[in-house]
Amino acid sequence: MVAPSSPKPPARPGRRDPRWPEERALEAMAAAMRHLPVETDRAWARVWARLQPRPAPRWPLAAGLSLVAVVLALGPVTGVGAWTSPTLAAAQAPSPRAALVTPSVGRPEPRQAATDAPALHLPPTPAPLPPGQS
Amino acid sequence: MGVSETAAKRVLLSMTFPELEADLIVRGAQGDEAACAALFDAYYPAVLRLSLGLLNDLGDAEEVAQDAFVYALSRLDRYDPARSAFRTWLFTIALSRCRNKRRRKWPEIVPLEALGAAGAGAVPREVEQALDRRGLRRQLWEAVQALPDALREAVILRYLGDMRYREVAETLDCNAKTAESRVRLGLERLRRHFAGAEVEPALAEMLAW
Repeated sequence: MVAPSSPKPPARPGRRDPRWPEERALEAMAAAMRHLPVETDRAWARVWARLQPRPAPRWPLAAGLSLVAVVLALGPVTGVGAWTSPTLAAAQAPSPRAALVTPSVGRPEPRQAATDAPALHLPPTPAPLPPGQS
Repeated sequence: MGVSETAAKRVLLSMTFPELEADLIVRGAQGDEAACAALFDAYYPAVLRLSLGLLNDLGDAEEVAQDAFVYALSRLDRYDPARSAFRTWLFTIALSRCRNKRRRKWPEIVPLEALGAAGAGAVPREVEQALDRRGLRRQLWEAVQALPDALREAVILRYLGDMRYREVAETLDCNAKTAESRVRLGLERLRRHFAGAEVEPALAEMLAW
């Protein structure tokens, strides 16, 4: 089967070809391109394969997915649920209040002097006088 | 060969091309592999040549042509013969895919002034060999590839696709006058391109009045 092509009127003898020269050159180029080797059979095999409906997923994938679904469904029994259930995970996590650092916990140790000089012992700061006494 | 097979062959031989094509399309839409294969055999080389002209790369052209057939053959029931010829419908699908391929392939860093010549890459070896057999060199092919997209598409559909202006217009979704003027503008650009250039002898002979 050959695709239909647009008929071109042949140039009459003795008359100049009515086509533009560039047109003639492009037609020659198109004619040359018809000799381009085309691997139709290989291309058809690929196209036909792509036209076929996709096969169902193979059993290992389906079985694997089913197993994961079962394990997740039985989470509370198997213990896997603690990782996936938001309520369980929240219950096991330390509360934000307990995680707070109190000032006594965070206070640094008194630093030792780096020299051999004896440490200075300052007298204790006197207690503030009661109001009205100077 | 049985009686019914002979009768079927007689019916096929008595069919005109449009009748045969319409029959293949109907059977192809019902999933008949032989009908789909016959349509593929008839049009794949033309779609491949068109894609090659638009993309200037054989690997890309094969990919696009096969994509276009996968799309077309899986939607044969949507083809409306009242709207366009089957070949025009196929070319429209291929053209759209070629545009997408080019858009993806050419990066955004191409400067605007170079966009017109963006397709002018190396000529594929297979194209060079095909042209060489007819005494042509790659000069004309390169000049066509360097045309701005709108003109290049019109010129390639008209000559490589062997389409009439009306068919070019249907494929490009414009009116026939616009299609014709794009082809003429493309030819004028080619003329200006070759006017001051050193042209290979076979091409020079064709370009002479």
